[in-house]
Amino acid sequence: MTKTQPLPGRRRITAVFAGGFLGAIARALVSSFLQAELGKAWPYDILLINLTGAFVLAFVTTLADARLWIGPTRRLFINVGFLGAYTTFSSLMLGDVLLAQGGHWWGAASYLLISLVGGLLAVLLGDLGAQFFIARQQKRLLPTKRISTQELFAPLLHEKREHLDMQDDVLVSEQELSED
Amino acid sequence: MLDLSSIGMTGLIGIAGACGAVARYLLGRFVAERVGTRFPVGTFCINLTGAFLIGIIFALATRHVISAALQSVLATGFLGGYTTFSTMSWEGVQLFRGSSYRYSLLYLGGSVICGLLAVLLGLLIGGHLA
Repeated sequence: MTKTQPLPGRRRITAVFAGGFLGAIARALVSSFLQAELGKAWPYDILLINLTGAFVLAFVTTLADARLWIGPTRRLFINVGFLGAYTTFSSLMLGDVLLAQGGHWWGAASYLLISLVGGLLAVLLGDLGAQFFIARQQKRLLPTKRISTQELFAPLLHEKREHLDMQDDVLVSEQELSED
Repeated sequence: MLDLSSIGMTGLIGIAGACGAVARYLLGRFVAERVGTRFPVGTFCINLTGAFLIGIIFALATRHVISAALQSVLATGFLGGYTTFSTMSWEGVQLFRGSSYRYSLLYLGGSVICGLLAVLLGLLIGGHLA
């Protein structure tokens, strides 16, 4: 495990605070807009917010891991601050309990299942999108090297990659994840 | 109902969300430093405590112990900033990729089942407090 140069504490907190401020406001605005458009019978607003947030989080994290545009401060601002506040677990849980208590068992079960499976798919799609983007950038820099689709998809499922830890700027290899 | 035409209310939600995000960041780091495992214990604890608290707040708001405005600031603002779905999904995929799909299922399934129970417990306790 290698440590990157740590950021000063105040800078980290400021990045998370600023991101969280904007993320919470963004959620309140998007939520009220979606409720006005799609109604409040089923929590479309929280579902769409959570899935888009998971997609962008994966996209940004993959860019950060490739050291493309996203440095430690921007990652804390976007991922830990903004997207952490934009997406929500507590409202998902409460919304699900309220649906079940109202007797909407099918609604409650589908809300939970679509959220969880959709969240995983959103992360995979965001990662894939970022890989595609990175590959294009590299292709532009090295025009002779063609990137096959196999090369593009392989790292998604098989390659052991290193990732920046969510809470810190510490690189974590997936090998360690599985060994613990 | 939240009146978004009110800039003050939106600002309060933003500040509460920012405080929630910082609380999550600090608590997550605190847990990560003390728990030696790569299992995402930090996010797990954060999401469960957040689910418990939103149950209490909802129960208090439906019994008019706290106003709808305070409910918005605390639930949409603070707890929205504190708990997170995006990091949980990401961590779920990371566990899966680390070829420990059992951990992944345990983490996501555990978060959801314990989260639902935490909301119910919060609703129950909130009902007694009111």
